[in-house]
Amino acid sequence: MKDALRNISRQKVSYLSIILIALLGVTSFLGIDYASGALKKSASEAYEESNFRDIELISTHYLTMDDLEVIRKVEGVADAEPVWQSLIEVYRDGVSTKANYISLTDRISRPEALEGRLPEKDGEAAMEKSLADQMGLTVGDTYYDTVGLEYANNFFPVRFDEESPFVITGIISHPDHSNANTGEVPYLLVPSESIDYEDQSFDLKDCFVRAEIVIEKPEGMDRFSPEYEKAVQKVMDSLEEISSERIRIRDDFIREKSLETLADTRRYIEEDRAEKEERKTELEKEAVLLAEEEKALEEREEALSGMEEGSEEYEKSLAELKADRKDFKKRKKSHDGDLEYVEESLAYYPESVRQMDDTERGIMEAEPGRWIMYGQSGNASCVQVRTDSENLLSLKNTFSLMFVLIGALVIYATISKMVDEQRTLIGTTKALGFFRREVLAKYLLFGVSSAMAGTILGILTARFALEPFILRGYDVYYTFDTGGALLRPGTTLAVLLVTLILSAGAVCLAAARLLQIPAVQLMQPPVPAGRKKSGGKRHALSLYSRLILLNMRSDLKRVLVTIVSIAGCCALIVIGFTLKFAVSGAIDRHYSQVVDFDARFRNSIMLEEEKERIDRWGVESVMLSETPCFYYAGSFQAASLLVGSIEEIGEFYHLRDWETGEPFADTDEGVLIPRRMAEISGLVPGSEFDLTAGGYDRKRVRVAGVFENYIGAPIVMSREYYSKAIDPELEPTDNVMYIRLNGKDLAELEEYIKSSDDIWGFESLTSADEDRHIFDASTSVINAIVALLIFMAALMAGVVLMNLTNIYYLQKKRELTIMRVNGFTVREVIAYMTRETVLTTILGILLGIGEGSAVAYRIVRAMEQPVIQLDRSVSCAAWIMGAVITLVFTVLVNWAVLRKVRNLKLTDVF
Amino acid sequence: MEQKRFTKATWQIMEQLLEVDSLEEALAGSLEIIVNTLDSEAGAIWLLDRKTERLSPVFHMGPADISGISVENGLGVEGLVTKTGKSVMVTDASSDPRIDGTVFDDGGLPVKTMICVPLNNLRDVIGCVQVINKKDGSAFDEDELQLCERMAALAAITIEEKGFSVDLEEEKEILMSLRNVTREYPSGDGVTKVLRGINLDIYKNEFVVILGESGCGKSTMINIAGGMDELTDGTLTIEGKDFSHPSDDDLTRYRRDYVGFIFQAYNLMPNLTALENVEFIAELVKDPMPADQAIAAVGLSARADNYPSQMSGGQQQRVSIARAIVKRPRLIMADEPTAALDYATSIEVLSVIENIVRTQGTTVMMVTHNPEIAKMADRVVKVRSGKVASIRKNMHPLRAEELVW
Repeated sequence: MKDALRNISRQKVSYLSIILIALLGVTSFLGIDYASGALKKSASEAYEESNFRDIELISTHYLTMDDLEVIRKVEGVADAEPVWQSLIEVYRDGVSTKANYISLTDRISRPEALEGRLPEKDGEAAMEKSLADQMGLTVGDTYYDTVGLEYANNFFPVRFDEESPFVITGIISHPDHSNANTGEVPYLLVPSESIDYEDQSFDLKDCFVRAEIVIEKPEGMDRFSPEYEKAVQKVMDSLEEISSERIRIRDDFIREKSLETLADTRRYIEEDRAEKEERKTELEKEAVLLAEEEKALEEREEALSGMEEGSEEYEKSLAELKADRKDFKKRKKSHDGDLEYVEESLAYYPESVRQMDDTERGIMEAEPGRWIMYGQSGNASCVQVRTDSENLLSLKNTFSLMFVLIGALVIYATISKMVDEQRTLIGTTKALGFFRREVLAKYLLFGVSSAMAGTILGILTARFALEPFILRGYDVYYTFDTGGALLRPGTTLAVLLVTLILSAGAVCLAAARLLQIPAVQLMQPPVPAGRKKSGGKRHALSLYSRLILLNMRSDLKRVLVTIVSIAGCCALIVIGFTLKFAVSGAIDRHYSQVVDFDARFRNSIMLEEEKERIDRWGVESVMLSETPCFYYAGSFQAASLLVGSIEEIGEFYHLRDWETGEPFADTDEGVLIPRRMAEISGLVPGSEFDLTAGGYDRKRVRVAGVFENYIGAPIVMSREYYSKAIDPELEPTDNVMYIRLNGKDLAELEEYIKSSDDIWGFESLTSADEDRHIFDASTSVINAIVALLIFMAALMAGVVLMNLTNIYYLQKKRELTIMRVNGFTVREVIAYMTRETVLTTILGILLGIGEGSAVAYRIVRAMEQPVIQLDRSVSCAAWIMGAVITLVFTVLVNWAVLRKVRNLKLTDVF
Repeated sequence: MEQKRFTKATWQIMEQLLEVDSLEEALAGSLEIIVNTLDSEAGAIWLLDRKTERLSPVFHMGPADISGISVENGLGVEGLVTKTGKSVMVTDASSDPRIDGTVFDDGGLPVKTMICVPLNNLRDVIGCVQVINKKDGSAFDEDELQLCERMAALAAITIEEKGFSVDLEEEKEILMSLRNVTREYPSGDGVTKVLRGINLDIYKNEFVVILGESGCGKSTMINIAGGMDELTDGTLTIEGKDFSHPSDDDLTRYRRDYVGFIFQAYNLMPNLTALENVEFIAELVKDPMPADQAIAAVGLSARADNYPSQMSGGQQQRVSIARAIVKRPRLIMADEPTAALDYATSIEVLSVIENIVRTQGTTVMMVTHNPEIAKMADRVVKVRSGKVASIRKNMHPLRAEELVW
């Protein structure tokens, strides 16, 4: 035991290095693992607390209260509640913003009142904090006094008016929006009693927008576990089973009601036609009488010419004639007008009939309704939790794993080198009669205790430093407390076990080989690896230089481990920077190479005249239709559908072939899809997939091309292809304009746009890079973690290099002393040492850059999301950073270690 | 009591002179007995070379190195005693008109009191015996003078019987000179004095053996002489130039150009063959001996391509010697070069070293525990407690193959 402790004391640099390396490796691995788990756990608990829905069910033809009753009875459904929701515009003091008013549920997805209380009756409302902050509203403010509302889509209006204004009773946090980075429209919450769903037309009456469903599940079940997903899917399958019947009932009802309405209309039109016909007949008869009357008036005028002008009789007859003629003209005009109207009305009748027929056909051939169900994936915040957690796991399984592997390699190298160095001592102890197990125990104590100490410290650092650091980063973006710290026993024990096995294995591997060798042989220095004799020929290099190569050759194991360790550390730094640049590069590339407009103007309907007016103001623009859509290509994914002239859109949103870089021309052969979408869905030009947009049923579309894109999932199609694949009759409504400001001010442009009387349905005018900030914010935590990992990688590089250089120095110390004794100067001795270090460092850096780039590419790919393609290009800057940091550490460490050459005790050589 | 001690000393001296095979050892031992009995700081036996009429100290003890000195018969106290055949006792050197500086003073030991008695054989005076300074500072007395005279008489008879003759060589050129050299090392709160005032001259082309117990300071002394350690106090001159406090560069240059090293543990570069080990050092200096010639000089041409680990200890040590000589050094430092070798191999190695001294004019300083090896040295320096205890000149050094242990 004493000998083992002395051994540790003698090799304290290596011992401490192993502790530090194990600490760094375990910290990076477990810290991220803990944080990933804690994030999901915290989210799961928060969702559990608010009884957050498990399934969100939407019907394209709305859901009825009857549907709700049936849903509640489906096996596996624990509860279901209706939700009404509508888009509104909230304005105050000239500031306006979009909001969703939403009905308050009684039991499911209950929001939390951050201030005040939840609304309880008509005339009360609560709003999400982001909305309140944005509008400067607080508890107690009232509608009509301070706040105005406008409906963007006027379904299910809220019952309030000037006489009964609503009061803001609370500022809330809603579980739907537990992540602040999703850019979703905030909620204005009202009691369900406030929703006017009864006094509606037959297609809305007693209907609601979506059903919130909670399934039967064990209490505290992890909502991000496969078991949970399986349970949800099972209930969704059951709901799918009843959906066709419910849809049929609903569709039949709507069809029946629609046909009834149509029949009423037909009846009305028919009655109207009959009336018009009758009227026409009357008018024709009246026309005959009027003609006769006109003739009589002409006769009276002729008779008048026979009378003496100025006579009393003449004057009297003239006056009567004028009066009669005036009356006649008035009646004639009225008659002609009526006749013209009746004739026109009767002439339009066939068209009306045709329209009725078309409507009837439309009703009969209407697309059946569809139930759309979402599990957790339907909620952006849940998706974000999963994304953040999976990003962390990706980091852990790639970047951190590299840490662990490199750490393990260096620990193995250190232990095995330490044992190798004590070859003679092992020989001596063996010769003195020590048992193998006694010799082995000494080294096991060294290797296992240092690695385990580092691991335990790493576990503590992971749990009490890295995990809270990461979670604090995420805490800013989540409404729930992410600090639900977690020390995963399974992973932790696995790490401890792996450390134990690895360190003990390294000792046994290194020592077992030596322990097999007879003691006397161990006490002799090993024979260097053989080499061909030079045959007396002269070498180009001096023996001094060749000796460095000979040393490397004879100590190939150490040299290889050194190169691999340096490569590993360099690779870690390259990976870190590549990852960092991949994230920032994706944003930069997207907004420099793809997006070529300054502002996005959204309007309900975009008119050509308005575009011309805006362009005349001095900006350039393109109009297009931009709507959310879903596509099915192996999996169900959200995207946005852009319809317009591909060439014109391409001038503002560059659509370039990802392989050739060539811009796409207008095509009616298919849609253009982003590269990331093509990759995750396995789509290539020529392949087909299903698309649903704008309430249409699934449409089969063909891929015409794949363009380079980094953020978002825009599917682009020409108007021609739209009419070919989606709707041959109805053109999509342009609702978005991409605008290049050409130096003009965005606020002034907004003022200019709003000044037009022709503008209606104005939704927003936002800077093009507004979503850039959302992306920036959502990646800021991962950026911070990557930065921390880079720091840890650099630290590890420092420790590894210090350890390796120290091992190298200790190994060569006697040789160096001999050199110094024989007259080599300090500079020559340091140069002798440094040359190998320079060579191994350069080789390590080159290998590290290659290795780092290859692994970084995989990590970058693993961290990509369906709507985010990171910058995958080779990052020369990351190479340079990796090389420079490794070099700097090499120089510093060599400077620190090789300073000892100056103080070499030459007398030790005796 | 005093008489009893002197009688005992006389018997010891007789025993030394009569029973010890080697006359040099017998005389050196006798001098040591008399110096110790009289509790003195130094002592010397001077012998006269009749051809040159000069006296030289063949054995001397104490901190002052007077071994390279010779004085004209009749001059100085030594010359006076040898010339007249009469003993001299100095009780206060500072006021004694016969004393006008002594060789001990020049060697770093100020003389205060002295006994100098002639070595009288049957026909004439062949030299003298000197004892310097009582350690307690008191003066020598008549009894002590008589003891010295008895010892001198016995020694003279023995020399007469065994035919010891002095053949004084040409005065040797000093290569290196250490004067009052001390070396202290920090130890806990205080310091450990390893060297306490070394006075020693090393001559060109001589083979000096340093003998001493472990920890006596002999390795420290050759470390300083070899430029591997620095002295704390005193002076070190090399070929007349002060080298007491050289810079690291000066020391490196000195080791590179001036000194060759032979280590007990060989200290060869493990990744180089025998020849490469020699070439490695040869590349370092301006005018080296061809490496293969150096290897041939140690008789290892056949093993030139072998790695150290493929050679025996003796072969490795011979490579170490080849590595030392390839630089054509002025001085070779050998630290226990045969300590780890068996007898036969040791003799092989010593033969090589002997050959170097004889054929290449190199000075060799060798530290050893083995007193037998001292018999092949030109001079034997004994170090004790950080000081030179004695320096003995071998009048008839043995050849390496004549050594037996």
